Amino acid sequence: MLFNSISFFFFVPIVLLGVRLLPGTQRQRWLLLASYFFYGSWDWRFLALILFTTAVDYWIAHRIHRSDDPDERRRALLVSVCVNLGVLGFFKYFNFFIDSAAALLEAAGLHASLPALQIILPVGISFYTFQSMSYVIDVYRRDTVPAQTFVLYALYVSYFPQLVAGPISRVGDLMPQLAAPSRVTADRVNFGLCLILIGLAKKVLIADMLAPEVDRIFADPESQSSGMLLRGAYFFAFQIYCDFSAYSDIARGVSEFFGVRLMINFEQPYLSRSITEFWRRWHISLSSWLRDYLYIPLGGNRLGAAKTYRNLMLTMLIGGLWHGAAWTFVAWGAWHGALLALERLLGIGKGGVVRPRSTWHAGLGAVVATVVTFHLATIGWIFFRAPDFGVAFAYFTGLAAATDFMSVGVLPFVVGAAIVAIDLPQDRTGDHAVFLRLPWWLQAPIYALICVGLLLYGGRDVPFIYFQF
Amino acid sequence: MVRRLLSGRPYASVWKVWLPVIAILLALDVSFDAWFWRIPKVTGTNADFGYQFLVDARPLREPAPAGTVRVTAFGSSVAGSFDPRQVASLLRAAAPDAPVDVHRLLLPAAHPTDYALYFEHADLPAPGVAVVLFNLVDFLFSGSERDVNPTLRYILPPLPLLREHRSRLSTSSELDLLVAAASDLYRFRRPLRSCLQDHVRALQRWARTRPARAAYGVYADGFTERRFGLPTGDATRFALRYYIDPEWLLQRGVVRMRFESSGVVLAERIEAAAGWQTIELPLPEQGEAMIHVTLDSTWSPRVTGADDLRLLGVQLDLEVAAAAGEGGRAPFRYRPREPADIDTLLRMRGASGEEFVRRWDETLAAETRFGERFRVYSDAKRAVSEQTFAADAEFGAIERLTAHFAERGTRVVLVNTPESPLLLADYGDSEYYRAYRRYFRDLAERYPGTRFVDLSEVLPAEDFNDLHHPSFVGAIKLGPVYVDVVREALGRLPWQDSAEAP
Repeated sequence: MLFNSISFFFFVPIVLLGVRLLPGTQRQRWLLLASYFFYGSWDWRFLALILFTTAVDYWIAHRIHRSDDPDERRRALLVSVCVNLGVLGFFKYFNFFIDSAAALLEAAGLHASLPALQIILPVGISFYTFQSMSYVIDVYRRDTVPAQTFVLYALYVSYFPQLVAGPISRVGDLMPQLAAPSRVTADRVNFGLCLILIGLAKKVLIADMLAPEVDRIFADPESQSSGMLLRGAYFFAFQIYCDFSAYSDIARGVSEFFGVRLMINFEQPYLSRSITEFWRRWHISLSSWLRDYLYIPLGGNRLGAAKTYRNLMLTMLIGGLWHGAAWTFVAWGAWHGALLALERLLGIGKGGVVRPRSTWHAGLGAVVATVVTFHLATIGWIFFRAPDFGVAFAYFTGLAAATDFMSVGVLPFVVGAAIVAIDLPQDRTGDHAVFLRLPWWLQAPIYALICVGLLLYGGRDVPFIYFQF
Repeated sequence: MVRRLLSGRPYASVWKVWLPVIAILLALDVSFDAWFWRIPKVTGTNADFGYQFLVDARPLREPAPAGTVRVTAFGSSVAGSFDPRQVASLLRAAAPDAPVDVHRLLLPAAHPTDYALYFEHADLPAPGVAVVLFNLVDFLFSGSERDVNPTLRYILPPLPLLREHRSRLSTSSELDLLVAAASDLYRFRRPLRSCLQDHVRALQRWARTRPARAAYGVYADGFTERRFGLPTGDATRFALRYYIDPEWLLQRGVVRMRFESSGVVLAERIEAAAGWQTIELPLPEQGEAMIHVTLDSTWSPRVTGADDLRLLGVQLDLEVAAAAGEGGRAPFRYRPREPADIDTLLRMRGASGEEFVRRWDETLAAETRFGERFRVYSDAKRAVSEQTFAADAEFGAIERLTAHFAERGTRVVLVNTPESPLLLADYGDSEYYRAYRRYFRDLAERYPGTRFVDLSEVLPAEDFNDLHHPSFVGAIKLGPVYVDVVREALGRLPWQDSAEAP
């Protein structure tokens, strides 16, 4: 069941009605049932897997919490990590590792017949596995206490708005809200509706519109001019942002109706002035997860410059591999790891997310830095989108040929301007529903127009890109 | 600036923002019938078949003009060989005192069951003659496309469709149909989208059109396109000699011509006689110094030989054509017509004989979408030789349609459309195909006023674009055949001999 499908627009009010009508104790059960129904609507067999992960981590977390023996605690944590990564590794990476091993043996002159399995990748497995792992690790670190009931924990893992494509919520943030949702006020409904509308507009009216041309250009980069390749790269940069951030917007918007505020996953990443800042704004729930559970445990920046660069690179390589079982994702991670290391070396990107209040000259510098950062990220997206290195190489070769750059056309700049028009007010005010601050008589016709646009161009049930991760 | 503008303001009230949004959407939905159908469809008939179907079906809701007999032909894509304008034009030329109102409903991938459902619920005035066009292919893939064909979803009445096919529909399809039943804005969102896109395209074309003040649409050999223009200079009168080919009259019965200058229609002519004709017109005193001629109903493929695939208008004197020169562009006209794509109209590029067979075999064997699709059709058609005929739901639907029209006093003509002889040779003599044709003959005998016409063998292979779709040359040849079919049916109308007969 997709957020942009008609079924979802029937599903949410029904779930909401149940939450309103049922007494407090039953609400969690009802929401859990709805979440499992939502997840099972893809393939009911996936339910067994999520239940297994949930049950194992629930049991292990309690065991870790009860024990004072460091060795036992560590062993239990190891079991949890192995189970989680084992499940993820099997369902997502088995064939990738087998293929890579076979290619390696082939390169060494050995012919090995390794088994390949037809494995269906369960939707959202990377998201809920990381969410569940973070819970066990937090319990192990004594940063949190285990969930009081299995239902509450199962709901934390499977809460439907964020189940299949994040944000990857932390236990300290999400579980208390699920245990005791806050009151749903008119302002929250307003906020939620606005986020849903912005999300749907980004998904249906931008991402899905760009998808066919991106597919066409990436399908045969060798026959395209440099201008068309640039157009394809720009379009994919916009498509993936509008697609993924749209999911997060809709997830957050829907969750508002249940009195649960999900964490912000995107903070206008294409307005970043460095790649370091980009990663503070892009897929925040994953980048902060990698920071807290991988980069810092590896030593972070505390062990000297060389190890800091190693840790950065390792974190980004694993981040790349998290996205998909292909070497192109690893290359994408490596590209970003290298850029982060370089920026660290040059002292660029310190100071977190920057919202300039400065003079015109500083503003011009910011614009140049933003444009450069966008293009660096876009180069990375070519690795991300290309199905293999052959296509990525052909893409870069075609771009370098510098033929007919005018064929890029004006449309990428129009789409870019539209995205800036949405993002800039959000960025400057720090409010994702900033448009609600406009006069109502201006908002209503604009929103009605967007709704008509969604009606005309929606309903094609195009899945979100990040479902495959 | 943005921060200054928006930071201090509170959120607008939830009711003030969202209630007007709902009100606007409701207003658009409730008034849908009042505004949508007034927007003209601006692009070609094949831009969006479903939308075109709705546009074509719209006039059928009104009764035929007084004293006029309505002829409604319908079918899947094979109905493309029935050109209502050609049939109407030939009928009018043959019998100017017996006015007819000819319509065609065409929907690719629609099955007889779909049409049965459509006519049973559309509540349309009964036509005088119903021409049901079908082909073997319509019966070989029974209903399989219905659940996934989004075009049929909004053409067919949602609730009856839901009732009839519930067992085969997914939950989201059921919800889709339920919402479609409640909201026209939702149900017809695809035509609405096509309409919007059509007009945006037309606007783009208008913005790009800068007509040069020179001749356009005139070939050096004297032939013109169906729209051409000639400069008039400082002249106050315009004289033109043009040739009407007898072939054009055979194809269309008449040639309609319109002469315009500076946006003023100077003259309209209907030429019903072949040969050289002349016209002399006064020109507006102040104007654009150009005359624009538009020809309707003139198709003349291959006038100068088999390889000549131009769609032509009339022929001019060679000196006039030579003096006209080139370089002009036709001015933008609302509603714009998409230029005909000759590749899809005449896929084998006018080849004949062995060359046609060679090209056809190549096309069918190619790893293209067309090749793949028609290999499936070809295999399915050949396979009937080894099957036993059984009248399934699609055949039953033809009977439902026949009964539906017969009850309303409509003459029904069941037309088995042409098959390519290249393939018919493989199954034409099979027991299945004999039984298939016998079924319709028997059906026609059971229902008074019904006739079965078998056109499966009337066209040579080179008049086909594929296995069962005639090329546009084939379709033109079929025009007079359909006229005979319709005239025969008109002659059998119960009131034909009465004083009020048209």
